[in-house]
Amino acid sequence: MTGRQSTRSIYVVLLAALAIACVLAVFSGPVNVPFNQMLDSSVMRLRVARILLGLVVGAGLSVSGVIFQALLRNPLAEPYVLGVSSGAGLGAALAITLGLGALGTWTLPGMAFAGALATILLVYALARGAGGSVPVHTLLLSGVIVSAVLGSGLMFLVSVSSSKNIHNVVWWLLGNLQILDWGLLRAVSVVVLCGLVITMLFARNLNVMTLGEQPAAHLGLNPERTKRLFFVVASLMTGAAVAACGLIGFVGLIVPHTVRLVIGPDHRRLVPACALAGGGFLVLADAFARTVFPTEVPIGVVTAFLGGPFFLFLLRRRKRSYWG
Amino acid sequence: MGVNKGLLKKWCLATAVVGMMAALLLLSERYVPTDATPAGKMRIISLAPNVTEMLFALGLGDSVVGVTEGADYPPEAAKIERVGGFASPSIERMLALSPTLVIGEEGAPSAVVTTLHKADSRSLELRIRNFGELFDAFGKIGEATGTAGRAAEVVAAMRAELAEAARLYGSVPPAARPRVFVEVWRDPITTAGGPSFIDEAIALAGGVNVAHDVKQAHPTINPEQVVEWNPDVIVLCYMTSKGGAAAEIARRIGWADIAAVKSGRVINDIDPDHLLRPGPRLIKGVRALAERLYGPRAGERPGLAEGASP
Repeated sequence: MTGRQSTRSIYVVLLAALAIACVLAVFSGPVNVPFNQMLDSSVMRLRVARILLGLVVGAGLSVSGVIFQALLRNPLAEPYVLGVSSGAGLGAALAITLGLGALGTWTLPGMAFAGALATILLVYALARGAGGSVPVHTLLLSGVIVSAVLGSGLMFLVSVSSSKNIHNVVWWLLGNLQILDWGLLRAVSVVVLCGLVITMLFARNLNVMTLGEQPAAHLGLNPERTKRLFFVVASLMTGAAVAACGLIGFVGLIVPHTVRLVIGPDHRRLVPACALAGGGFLVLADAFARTVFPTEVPIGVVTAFLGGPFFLFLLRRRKRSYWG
Repeated sequence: MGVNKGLLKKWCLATAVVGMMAALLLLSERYVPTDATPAGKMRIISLAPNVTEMLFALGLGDSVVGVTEGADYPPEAAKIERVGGFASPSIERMLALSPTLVIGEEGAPSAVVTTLHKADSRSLELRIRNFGELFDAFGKIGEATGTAGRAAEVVAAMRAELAEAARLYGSVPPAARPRVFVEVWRDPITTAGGPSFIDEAIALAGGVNVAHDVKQAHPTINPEQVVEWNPDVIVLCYMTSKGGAAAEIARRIGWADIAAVKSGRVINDIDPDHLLRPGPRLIKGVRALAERLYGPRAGERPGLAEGASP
């Protein structure tokens, strides 16, 4: 699997899968669109926006997962491991329970994004030790603790808010790709695309970081600066994704591991492959979520339900331990 | 001998503990706070805002001693003690009010009802999904509170209003009726399906609910579906806030082609408490909706009473 030829064939397969997923998604939905009206109809515009959001969010979450797994040198790391989800959730729940959601379409995503950023800054500040270094384990611990504290705040808000608000908060927490605003889609896409480009440019540094911080320093890399850069990039991508469509779990965990099993641990190939696979997977999961049952199923349910068994299947086929 | 003494001590202690527990148990069984209730005086707790409105409409406002969060009408109701939210009323607070009657809507936690039953207060569970059940509910409350006569009057007044609406708008041929989409929440987009009282209200106001064939009362709707329905009128009526922004509807992806958006018939000035609360003011919701659909027919309207409130 190391040859240039096979890498190229993997990309071709991924692109083909992505295209198939998009075509399937275009044709699936509660409304039947006649074939001759496919190109110009309102329903199509809605579907295309939804597919684009799926591609962007899937790519963003998967690549964030890759980054966190490499930075924290932990196979369980995923985009939400440092508390972005709880912070965003708290922001969104505040917006909903205070009734700010009615002020405008941007209030809720804005509050969620602000919550995510505030959480990241807090976690980083807490983990920052003497001399400005941020030990990985301290970062992980403070992330988990902050996440737990904010999570309890979220549960508190849910428990004291009225029953109607609870429904809305829960709906938001389950995550979905419905988008009604081009501006929001554009904003999320810009953030995620910038993050992807930066990650691809510095993918080599991620390879070095997986060796450990000391070896990385010996190889001439500034580990603190690298950590900070990727920490910011991954958090921004995750925050944008969460702000646009709530919490979609499992993508950031399963896609990186699956792709790593197939393509190997070199981040220069892993990052673009993950972006393609993550986008395709989420679009497919969304098509599944809105067609299989009469009422739409939360996409997080589908990602875990489809992704989990597939990942376990791959894991069992590769008998040897693949991590580390 | 020493062993026996120790054994005796243990037995005494055990007996004392068991005795105390039994005494506590007996006492707690006997403790019923209804002793404080003066005989003959009704003390009613309402577990839903629309039930509170119905009680006031029946002239029972003075007997209502407890309400839930959100009971904001009539203004006097806001001053009554709160016993918690609709989904989570506090049993302790309710017992402390020593009610003689607790009235809730279907869906109240069953533990609450059981506990209250033990405390010798009667409970009444109403089920209001349409106008027929609303009228029945008035009858049931009237029966339970000895105000059956007043209940019959209120129902008669509401029926008269409905008959008036039927006279004004019932003759509109189906093809000429505006097709209405009511959005009760935006994120996710939620509407009112066939089994809901809102569906009935739309029909009474001379409109056709585009979601009439959906078999859920409050279904989540994919925006594609709304585009396909292509309603003539969109009504924004959110439960938690007054009025959504009509401009936001027009900016939604793909919604610009909907007939209602093209013709600018996006309505957001109906009080959600009139349209979303199955109580005495639902009539006002029907009237408001009809006026938005057909324009105020001032000349044709006789001076009917404002809803059913006294």
